[in-house]
Amino acid sequence: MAEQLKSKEVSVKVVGLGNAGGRVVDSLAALGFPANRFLALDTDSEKLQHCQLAEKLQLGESIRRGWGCSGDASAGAACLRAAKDTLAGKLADTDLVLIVSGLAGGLGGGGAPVVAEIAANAGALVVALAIKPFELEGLDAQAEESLQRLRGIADTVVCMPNQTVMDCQPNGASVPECFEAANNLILEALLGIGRLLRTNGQMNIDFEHFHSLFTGQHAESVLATLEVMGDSRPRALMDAILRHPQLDAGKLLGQTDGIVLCLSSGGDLPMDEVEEVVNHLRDAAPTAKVLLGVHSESGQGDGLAALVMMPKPTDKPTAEADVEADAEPVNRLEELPVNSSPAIVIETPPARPALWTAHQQQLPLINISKGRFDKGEPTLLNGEDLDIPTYQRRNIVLN
Amino acid sequence: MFDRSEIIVGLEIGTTKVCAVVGEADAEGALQIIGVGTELTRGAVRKGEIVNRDLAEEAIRGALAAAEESADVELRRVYLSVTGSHIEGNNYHGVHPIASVDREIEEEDLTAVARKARPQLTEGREVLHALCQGYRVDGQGGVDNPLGRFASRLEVDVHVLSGQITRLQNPVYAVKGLGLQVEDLIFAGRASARAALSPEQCEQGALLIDLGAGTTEYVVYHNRSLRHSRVIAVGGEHVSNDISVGLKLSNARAEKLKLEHGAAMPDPAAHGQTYNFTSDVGLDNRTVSISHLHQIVHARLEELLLLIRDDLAREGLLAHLRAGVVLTGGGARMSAMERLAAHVFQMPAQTARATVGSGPSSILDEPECSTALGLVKLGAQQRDTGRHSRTGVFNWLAGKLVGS
Repeated sequence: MAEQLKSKEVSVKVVGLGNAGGRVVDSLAALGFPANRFLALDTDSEKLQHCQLAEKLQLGESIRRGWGCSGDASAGAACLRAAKDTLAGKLADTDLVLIVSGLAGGLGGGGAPVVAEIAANAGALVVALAIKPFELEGLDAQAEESLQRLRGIADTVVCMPNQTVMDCQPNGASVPECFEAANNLILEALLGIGRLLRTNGQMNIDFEHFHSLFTGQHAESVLATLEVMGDSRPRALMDAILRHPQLDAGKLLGQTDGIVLCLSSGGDLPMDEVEEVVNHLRDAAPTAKVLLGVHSESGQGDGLAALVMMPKPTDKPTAEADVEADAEPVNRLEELPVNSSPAIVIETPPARPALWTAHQQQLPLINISKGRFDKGEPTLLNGEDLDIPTYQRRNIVLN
Repeated sequence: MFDRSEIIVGLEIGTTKVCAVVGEADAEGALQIIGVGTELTRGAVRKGEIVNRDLAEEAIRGALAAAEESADVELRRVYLSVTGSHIEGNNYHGVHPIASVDREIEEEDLTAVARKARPQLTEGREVLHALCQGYRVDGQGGVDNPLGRFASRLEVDVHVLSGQITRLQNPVYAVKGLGLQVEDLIFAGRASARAALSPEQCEQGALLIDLGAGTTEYVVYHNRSLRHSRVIAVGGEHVSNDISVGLKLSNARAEKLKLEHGAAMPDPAAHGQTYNFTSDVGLDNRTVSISHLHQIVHARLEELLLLIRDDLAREGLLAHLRAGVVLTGGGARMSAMERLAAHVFQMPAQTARATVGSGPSSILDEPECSTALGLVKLGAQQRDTGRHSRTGVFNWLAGKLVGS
């Protein structure tokens, strides 16, 4: 029976690394995340004892003697390498490994690339959820270094900067409030991924497509969960997507090649609303392939929730663009994002050379006299300057 | 005499002239016009708004002095009109559930529903007028006075005129600078309508167009209440300017030509006619074609009326204008103007005959004075009702603009 199920369902394993990762995975399991297995890894024996998960593994007993890695990334990596074979056994036969870790931690930052490597060798798609520390923690450099390494190994890394959470908090929010908001954001993201991989929805995202979009990318992805209510939900949802800080104010839409969109609502979603959302999204991201999932979630209320996930375009092509520009300008043109919708403003990436920007030719202006109204506030109505004599604007020939 | 009758002054600071009209209301409330004074603004006002305060004060002083002389009274307090493209009129709706046990509508319910209809204006804008269009009691419309009725739900429709507060206050400061008091600040289009539209026309539905020199105000009345109002900063000066640019004439000659030979509709009989400007000091002899003049004037005025027509069509108001179009303001003097308006709106159009009390017919017949006349009429009405129309139910706007 178990074998039959496994062949149909995508097997997901969520690995919580270190203090931050372990805590998130613990709460995630409590929330009923539909993963087959959870795994908490830590060197700190006390922290592990508090963890409620069934499957947990204490690492580096000989190296750290039950203490944490105290931010030492090389110690974290060493501890994991020591347990490589055990871990490889635990990650075997898994389709998707979700690694949750804090980038600033010793085990989280140093160990995540090792786990990613083991999981990738076991044949799984590796998605890492990396938590960037608050700026005030002063660990940016270390976190960035860990992120670079992780990015090289995992298929895709979703970066969750705690700082953006704090920036969204009202003034005077307390420390626990900020941490809770940050944790909630990560949990929401994880739950969203869980929902998107479910196969009992009205429209399901094929894991194969998901796999092919992210596999081997070795790049960052962005992920956002949103919820809108009220009338004209598709329009509101699109506005929320375009304004979302994580999605870089909609700028990425025009550059990405694939978007995972998972919609869910309390009741059954009307087909035309789904169509409108997808149409809006296609207008904003004409070059992207949209992977769509639709679920109804009992107990969600009448809001329309969406998860948007897409790979960030890598910066590499822009560096080479100048060299290639002279050789093959025509091919490059095709790759430029085409923004067909006038309603959605997408900034053109500044790195694109101006060479390919089409220019509207300007005719020299004929100086039209406004007589005594030359000075002062013009009377503009429906795009016309009414101070200019009507017969001139209407091209009436006096004869 | 002083304890029985009251002196009411209407002051309009127009683009080309300041006009002061003095009325006297006797104990029975009958209104008589006893004096009028006008003075040219000489460029102090552009498109309805003061641009040179010193010159404007001089013109106001001149107009009031002339009015004092003709009426033989001393003027201290005025009703002042205001216009400008910043003024907007919009309709708002307020709903209030009657919470009292017996569900009888009381005075405080009227206050509450008025408050709910209060619009959220953008920063720097202020309400000029909030005019009640009518109440609806439990969905039943057309209720003028819902006090004492039993209901569970009270609704109100309000027409709110608002403007930029700084621009609304410019004329108030200019008048106060002369040591005069401003009794009330009133939108010029509303004042003109009071003078030019009869109660029957307001009931049946009428469009009033006040064709001023710098601005054109238009208002729609239907079922005795104001439904729509707007200002377009295009007026008679634009016509003169078009002539000046098109026929390459000086402003003064263009103005003269407009007044003497301008026509809103091209006149077939004028084909081939010319007009000669005889040599003036420093200016050459010039000959211009009358049909060219007609083409230029027609294009401008037709465009202006089409803008108004399209706006009313968007608001769905054209079908309600059973009393047709009424024209006032200096532009209404333009030859064939009624014909053009009737042609554009496809309904009867006429030039206003002031409907204010009695007085010298020379004042009452002049469309240029309709705003000031309307101010006098509104002022008399406000004193009759103890200023309730302004400070009563809609007290969220009381006194803010004119100060006290």
